[in-house]
Amino acid sequence: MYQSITNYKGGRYFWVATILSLASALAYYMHQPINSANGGTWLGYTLGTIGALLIVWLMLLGVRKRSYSSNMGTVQGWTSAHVYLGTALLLIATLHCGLQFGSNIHTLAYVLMVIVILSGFFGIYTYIRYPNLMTSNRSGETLDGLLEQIQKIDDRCIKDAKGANLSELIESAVLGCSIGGSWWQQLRSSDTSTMQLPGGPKGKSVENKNQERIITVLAERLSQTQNSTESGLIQSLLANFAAKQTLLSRIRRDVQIRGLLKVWLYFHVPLSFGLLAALSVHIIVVFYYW
Amino acid sequence: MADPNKPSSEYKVSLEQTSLSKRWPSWLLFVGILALFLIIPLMSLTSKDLATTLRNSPLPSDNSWISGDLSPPHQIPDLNKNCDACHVNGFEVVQDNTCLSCHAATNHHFDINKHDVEKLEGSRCASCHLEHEKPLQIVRQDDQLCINCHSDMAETGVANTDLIDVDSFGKEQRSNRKSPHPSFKVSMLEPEGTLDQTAWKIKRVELASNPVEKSNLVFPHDKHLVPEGIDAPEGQRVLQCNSCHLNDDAGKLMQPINMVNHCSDCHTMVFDEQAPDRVVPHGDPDTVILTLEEYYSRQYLLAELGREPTPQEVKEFMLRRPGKTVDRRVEQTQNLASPWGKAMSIAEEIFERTTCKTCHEISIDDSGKHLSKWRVNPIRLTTNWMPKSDFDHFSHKTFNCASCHSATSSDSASDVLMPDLPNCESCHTGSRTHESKLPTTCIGCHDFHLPEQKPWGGPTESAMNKINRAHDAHQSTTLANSQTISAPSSP
Repeated sequence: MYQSITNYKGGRYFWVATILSLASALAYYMHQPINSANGGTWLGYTLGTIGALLIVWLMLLGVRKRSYSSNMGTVQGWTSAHVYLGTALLLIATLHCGLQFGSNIHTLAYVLMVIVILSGFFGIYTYIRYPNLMTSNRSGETLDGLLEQIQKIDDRCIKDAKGANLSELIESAVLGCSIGGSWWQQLRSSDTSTMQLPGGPKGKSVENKNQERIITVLAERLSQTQNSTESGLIQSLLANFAAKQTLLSRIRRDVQIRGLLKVWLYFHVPLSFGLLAALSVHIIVVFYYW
Repeated sequence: MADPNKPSSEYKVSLEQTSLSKRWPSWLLFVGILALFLIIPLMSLTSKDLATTLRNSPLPSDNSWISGDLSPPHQIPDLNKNCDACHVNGFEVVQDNTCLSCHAATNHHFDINKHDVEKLEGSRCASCHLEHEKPLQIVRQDDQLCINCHSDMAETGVANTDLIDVDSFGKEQRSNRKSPHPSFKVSMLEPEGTLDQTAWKIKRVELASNPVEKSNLVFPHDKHLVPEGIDAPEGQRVLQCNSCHLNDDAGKLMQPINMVNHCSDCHTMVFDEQAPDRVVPHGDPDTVILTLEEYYSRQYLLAELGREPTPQEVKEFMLRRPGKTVDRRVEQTQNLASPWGKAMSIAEEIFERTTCKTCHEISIDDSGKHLSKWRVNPIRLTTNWMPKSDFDHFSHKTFNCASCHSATSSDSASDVLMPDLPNCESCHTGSRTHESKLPTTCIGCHDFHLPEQKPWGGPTESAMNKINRAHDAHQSTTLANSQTISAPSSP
């Protein structure tokens, strides 16, 4: 995926953005404004217009992504251009304002734009770093496949538990097993699994992080049992929980990576709408106080 | 107990299944920012009271629209943060009339009747005087202000001008400049007319053409600056530049040179070695002749009598009836001409060979119009050599005078000791160069146009005429004093 974004059509948009940036920088260098560079000179207005149009176009990626029937270029191409032109925007907008900042709506628009772009940089970082990690973590499986395996293991465990007279214990461990959860839990890959100890107070759960407690309990039970059938079932349970343990850690890492791949968008997108509002006010005000 | 066969779809394994959302924060930010920074500030445009209330509240007002501070002179309560004071109508640039409502008495920056400058048509006050920008200066300091018009005066629309095109100073980083700063010209005074009615005209001459100053002063700088010192009444005296040349109060030009203060210590006006305390007056030659005649008459009388008359003899003379001695006087006329003869021979000596001649050009006028046939050619030293620059000696005080003025090698007062452009360029360079020199803008050395056309100056009359009049006024003052010959060097 990342290859196609960064190297789309031989890095076509990298060159477009580079030429745009260099042209802006050269114009800024050659420019001789009254006092110092600012948005009110001819170059300031030119760079401002380019910047504003870029912002609107960059935001249209959200529309293009959803227009499946559109034939205005591929989403891949759009995303590649989005990344490079978005980066160029950082320079263009900075040259536009001539580094003149204040506590006003104009600087608010700039700050929002910078945060949006920086969050985008984080997005690119995740797109470059995580897909490989995700693939190697899942070893060719899909998340649904992994969850299905968990389901199968759970079914086997519940069946074995009946024979070994451990239904209550195993069901509590199966039900108490946590996968994912809130956005924070997903991103932290946190494990809040619980279970109920046999003979313990009803409704009182104990921690079963990484399925270690259930494995410990089953191991103890195995050492105490004399019954060979029960012993066989408990051994089967132990093997299943051990397998589940491995699967769970892969699932949690997968969920975490998926989260990291997407979480920045929850800042990137709303902040771009904030930026769009601030940019609109900026433009209206600039022409109101022409 | 829940169904242990929990389907995998019940797990929250993607962010979309959590409370995180893109939609409502997007709306919140979009609408929130529009409300806070557009709608509420717009309300302050509807009434002044509401505007004041909003501006003094934590809520954003139209002040959140201010892109930068006003320049210090405009940071007054009536204007500061009071947007509509200048921005009278929305979507309209600030009009000149709005500026003029306070600045009605401000002059035009140049004579608009004289200079129908095409380039400036359509310019507004705010075309140059920018607000809300850094640096916070309402008066432009940049080179472009000048270069816009002066890089090509013909293109600017100022035809038939003596002004030379200039578009750069020092090694401008963009080297394709076609009109670098020209060599300096000086405004030198030159005498015109007769000895009795000399007019001093300002002549603009290029330093490169080795101009000759015609001040009528005889003064070799080199003889006065010899390291071992010069003969003075008290012995050898070593002179420095500042023994004579002192800054004026403004620290810019030099104080006028004064015969009494700067010359008379050594150049005494003694004419009779036997009477070292008797001097001829410095000034009018006729008075010099009278002084000499009177002195030698007295000497003659004393010699005839052989002594001072006693008080009794003087008293008797005063009581004597007039007319009694006439015959005797007629008899003695021949002898009595002697003091005049002596006076004339001494006058010839001091006018033609010694005292006066040391420093002055002397002419002979045999017309008999004056008591003295010797006339001292009037002296006027140029006070302001470079009136079109705003040089400040004080800010250059760490430099040796000799770094700009080659006085020690000058043997004549006719030498012009002003430095030319390369001298300045040894330290100064343009504002956009990479040279390791002091970046200097046009107005680092030049005023915006001419002094009286500064905004708060006098009426917009012809600048040179006005400068001439100022010169004339200065000269007539110094002539009245007759002791003052004015300052030599200012750039």
